[in-house]
Amino acid sequence: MTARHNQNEPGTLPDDDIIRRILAGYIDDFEILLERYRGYVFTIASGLLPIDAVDDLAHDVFVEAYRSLPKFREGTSFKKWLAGITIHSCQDHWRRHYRSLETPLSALTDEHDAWIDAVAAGEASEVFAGSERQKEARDILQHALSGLSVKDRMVLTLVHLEGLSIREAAEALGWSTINVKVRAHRSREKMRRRIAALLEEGVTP
Amino acid sequence: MTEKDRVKKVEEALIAAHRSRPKALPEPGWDNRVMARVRSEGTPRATAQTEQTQRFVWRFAAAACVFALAFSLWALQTGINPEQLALNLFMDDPLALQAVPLFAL
Repeated sequence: MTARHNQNEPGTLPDDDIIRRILAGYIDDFEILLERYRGYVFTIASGLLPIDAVDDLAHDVFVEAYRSLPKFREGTSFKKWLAGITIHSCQDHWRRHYRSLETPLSALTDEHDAWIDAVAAGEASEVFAGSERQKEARDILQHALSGLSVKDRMVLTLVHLEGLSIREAAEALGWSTINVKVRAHRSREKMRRRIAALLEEGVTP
Repeated sequence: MTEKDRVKKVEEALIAAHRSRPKALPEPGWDNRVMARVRSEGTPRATAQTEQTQRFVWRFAAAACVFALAFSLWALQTGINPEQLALNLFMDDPLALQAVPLFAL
């Protein structure tokens, strides 16, 4: 591929070249990065945040990435760098809106209670048939996550819910693997204790 | 079935529900909104200049800390009392002629 060809079709250039062009004043080339990684950022944020918060967060992530482009080290992965910004933005979102993300026990109903009993009794396949049932499951999950610190919640979501390895989560968060391992174990135990309490006491008084 | 098994079953179901949750999609015009914001920011070079300034300022942070520590040690040795100095200044009494008898310093 010649330099002239690249100049004519910036969409085919690798990330590093596009970033160099943006820093040289071709601001519109940022749209290429936006198209390439929009789906990736939405996928990460969808796993970590309530669905209605993803759109605005992804917007802020790309604006933040644009502002920080001079800090990007050439030769490293732009995708991983962007994932780091997304995860940190999600963490900040949780810090700002932590109260609203908590689901008090009073918000759970008899339907939630029935869901827990049915799943615990091994009726999972029937229980998951309808999307309404999945909503109940997500409400219960939010309740089980309530009370965890932002960091614990982040690690638990990445490692246990999203299925990232300890190393991947550590890279994304910029923490040590030991720290992630300890927090992941501790937060999972906390979540299990809350599930056990729901099973024992039920959701309705 | 033990309590532990029951908890594990519920936990597995919650994880499955999380993984099958609907993914958010960009609303129509989302790209244009981001690009409009990006264009209003100008080239990110201004940010680079700020970075350089910050790097320059932080280079002196260690020297400033060492100076502050050395000054504190010197002040301790020479018996300077910053509170009394501030009071003298406040009372417009550089020789502490009024402050000393008034506050029994």
